[in-house]
Order: sequence, then C-alpha cells, then structure tokens
Amino acid sequence: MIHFDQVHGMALVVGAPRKSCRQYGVPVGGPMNALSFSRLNEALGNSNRMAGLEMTGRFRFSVHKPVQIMVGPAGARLTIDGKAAWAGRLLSLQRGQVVEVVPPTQGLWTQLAVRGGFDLPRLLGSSGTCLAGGFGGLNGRLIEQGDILEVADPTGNHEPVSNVAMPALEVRNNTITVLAAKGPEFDALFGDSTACGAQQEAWELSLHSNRMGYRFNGQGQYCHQLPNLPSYTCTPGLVQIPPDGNAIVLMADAQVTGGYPRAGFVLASEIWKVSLLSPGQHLRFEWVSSSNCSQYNEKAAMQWRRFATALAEQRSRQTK
Amino acid sequence: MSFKFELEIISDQIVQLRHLQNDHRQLVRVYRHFLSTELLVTHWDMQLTEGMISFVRPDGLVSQDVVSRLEDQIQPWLQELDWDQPPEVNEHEFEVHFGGQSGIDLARLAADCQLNENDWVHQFCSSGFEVAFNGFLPGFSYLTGLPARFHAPRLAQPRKFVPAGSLAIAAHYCAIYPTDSPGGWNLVGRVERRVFNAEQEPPSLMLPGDWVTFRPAS
Repeated sequence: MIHFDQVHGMALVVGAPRKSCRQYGVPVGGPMNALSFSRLNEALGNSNRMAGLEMTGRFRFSVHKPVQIMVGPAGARLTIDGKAAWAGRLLSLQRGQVVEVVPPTQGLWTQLAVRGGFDLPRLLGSSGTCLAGGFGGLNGRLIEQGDILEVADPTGNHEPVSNVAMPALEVRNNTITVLAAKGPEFDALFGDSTACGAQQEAWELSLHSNRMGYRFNGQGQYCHQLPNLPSYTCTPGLVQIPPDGNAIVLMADAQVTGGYPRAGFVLASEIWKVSLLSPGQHLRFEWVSSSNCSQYNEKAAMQWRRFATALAEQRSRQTK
Repeated sequence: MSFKFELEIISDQIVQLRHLQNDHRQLVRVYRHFLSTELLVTHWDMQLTEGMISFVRPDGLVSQDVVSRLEDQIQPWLQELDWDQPPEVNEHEFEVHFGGQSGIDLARLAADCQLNENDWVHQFCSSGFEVAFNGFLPGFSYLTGLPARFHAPRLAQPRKFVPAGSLAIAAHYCAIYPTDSPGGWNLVGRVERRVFNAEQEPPSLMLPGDWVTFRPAS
C-alpha cells in the first residue's frame, strides 16, 4: 500500500485500454507510453490488465506495506530514501521507505507498475481512469495529496524478473520521427507532390498539450479553409490539421469522434514514441500508404513476442 | 431491400463502411443488427458516426486481406436482417427545466425565432428526436429531429464550464451533457436524469436509433 505525501503535477491510475466502448463515447484510454507500461507489467509477472500509475511532475509517496515496483521509460528518474534507483529494475520496497519521482530525462511521462496491480474495480473492462467520464481508476480523478492506493495480492502470478530493457529512443537534432499512414484529407491539405513540405516538416511540440492530444506548431504553413467533416471515428495516433494549421496528434484519452481534416495516422506501434517528446522538441512524420502499413505493426507484434519469450527464459533461469 | 455499401481502409486501425445510398436510418438499422451478432467478439471495435460505421482494430493490423475477410463476415449478417421487422429500440422521455439559469441561451434562441420562450418550449417539446450516434464524451448522444427553425450555430468561443445535465443545441443536433465539461453548444435547459453510468450495461442510456422526447418539468 502506498500513500501520496506530495503531488506536484498530474498523476493518475492507468490500466488496459478499453475495448468496445467507443460506441458509448468512452475513450480508449490506457497509458501514453503503452510500450513502456506493457513491458513493466510483463516484467513484474502481471497480467496486461493490471493497473499502475502514469505521472508527469514531482511526486513523493511512502510505503505502508511492502510492494514491488518497476518504473519506465528508460529515462525515468526516481529515488528511494534519497538514493537514485533505475528504470527497468525490480525495486522491492519495505514499509517506511519513501520514493520520489521527478520528471524523466526524455519526454514528460513516467510509468510505474506494481506487482499485483493496484486493487481497484474494473469498469467497462479496465481499472484505468477515464477523466472525461469521471469514472475508473481512483474515483475517476487525478491523484491528490493524501491518497492511498492498495495493491492486490500477487500470489499466483508469475515471478518478477530482476531487470528488463526499457524502450528508449534516439533523438537527433531534437527531433523524433514516426511512421504515419496518409489520411483521407492528406492530399487536400498538402497537395500530392512528393517534394511537398509535409514530407520534411518538423512540427514543434507546444505546451498546450495534454492526455487527449499533443498540439504542434506548424509555423502558419498549413493554415487552410477546408471545412469540418461529418463526425468521424478518432483513434489515438490520428493527426488532425485544424484551420490554424497547428497539428494535433490524438493520444490515449482522445475523444472518439472528431471533425478536423485528417492528415493521417501515426501507426499504432509508433504512438509510444510521440509520448517521449518534450515541449520544444520536434516531430517528423515519415508518411506511408494506408493500404500497406499493417506490416510495421506486425513487425512490432513480433518484437513483443520475442521480448516475452526472452523474459520467460530469464524468469526460468532465475528460479533455478 | 438491398443495402449497398463500400468498405474502405482509413488507417492501420480503421476500416470504414459507407452506405452508398447515404441513409442514416438504414445505417443505424444495420449497426444495431451488427451489435447483436458476434462480429465484434474477436478483433473489431465498432462505432457508428455521421454517415458511417467504423471497424477499429487497436492492434493496427488492417490490410486488404483483413478487409476481404470482414466483408465475407458482413454479407451473411446483412442477408439475415429482416427489414420488415421494426428495430428493437428504446424510447426515452426527459423532464426538462427550461430557460432561466438552467438554460441561459434559451432567451436568445427564442428571440432569434421571433417566439416567446413559452412558445419556443412548446414547439420544441412537440418534436420527436432520434439518437444519431454517441461521441465527444462518455454518454454524449447526438439527437436529430430538431426542426430547421430551431437550428443554431455553435458559440464562437466555447464556455469553460457547462453543467452536467444541460440540454443543448448546435447546428441541427441537440444533446444532453453527461458531465460537467467545457462546451460551445447553446444551453436551453437542464435534465436531472443521469445519461451515463459506467456501472451499468450498457453504460450509455441512449443508443443509436432510440427515440427521445422532452417535456417541461412541472
């Protein structure tokens, strides 16, 4: 059980994305960095439905009952009783220990998974927080000072591994590049010349960003008069260009419907990279055709299976 | 009845079904029928919006092959649909506190129609509404059926706070805000009845195709 002594920033309980709920207007949800969080749960021997935390800011919590945690992404920074601890390492916390989390070296978000997951009810298939609906997680809201989170009994789960590689990203010239499928309005927005600016454009992450979407400054280059479209389905990863030309990349808590022109979609397996941007850094899109892009996600799925297999081998070596 | 449609790949996650005859009511019929089948059980997440049904695969494995298989699944279910059988939908009647502090834009909307507020309310309540689709917020249902003279554009600047239960109008839609939220719709009244509850199945009170009426609270 952990107790939040100090909360400076935004922290919330995250769990599995919600499936089959967009028809009710419920966002998919889940962590901003799904790859990091998935690896943490897998490493701890948790099911992928178990709830953890995601936070941006500075936080201090004290341990009231022993827990085992692991944090990500690779650049996560935390101390235990004042001593620096590492991302991707199994941290066994004892009663009375104090943990401080500060902003990571890369991006805004730190993920924290706990062995057994937080003991919270599942609503609509997940114990994660839906801020827009005011339900899920800890009473449908952000974590506040004084909050307590209980950990579910981990008995019967797989054994945790002692350490695991956390996803990191090389950032060159302050820019991250992601694969994105061209959307229905791509040509209307940018023209179909292969030399068009959209191919080279580096979009700067603005401070006006949140869990629903990251806003990017387009330097006025893509202002347009295109009308809004009939409400269409939104998914995390959708790249919208509103009339002011400042791109929005929808993230974990995105609304399920939208109307702005769609430049395209960051591929499902690439969205975690966007979460590693810091305001002022740049995002570049490497555009691919929408009809032939599943191969990249298949490759990522294969990489995940290799990761899970290697972890299982590591686990069996540990227990020998 | 032949339901002519087209399946289109929108992204790695989304396949879109467009009704070629562009009849939203028929689309809702098909959507409600699909909901009752096992179409969704494995990979797909289905969503109805304005004029289309989207099939979403969060794993991003949409490809031509996958689309062909989806089409093969859809065809028999479409054949099975009995167009003569009326759809099984629900009817909802809401009591509304119109105007004043409960609907701060009502006076302006009524004036724009050259009606006094009582006549505006009376005419509004004589209309029948239909749920077109859900979106924007959990439990936010877009209702069609608003007579043309009541249509009103969104506010130029959204308000930072619209209270939960607000009945609102924008363009040709009206809707009830399920939670406190920022919003740019015109507020005409307030309902007390809860329209979204995550602990219920389904969590949203109103589903596409349902009928909705309003009456003034006594």
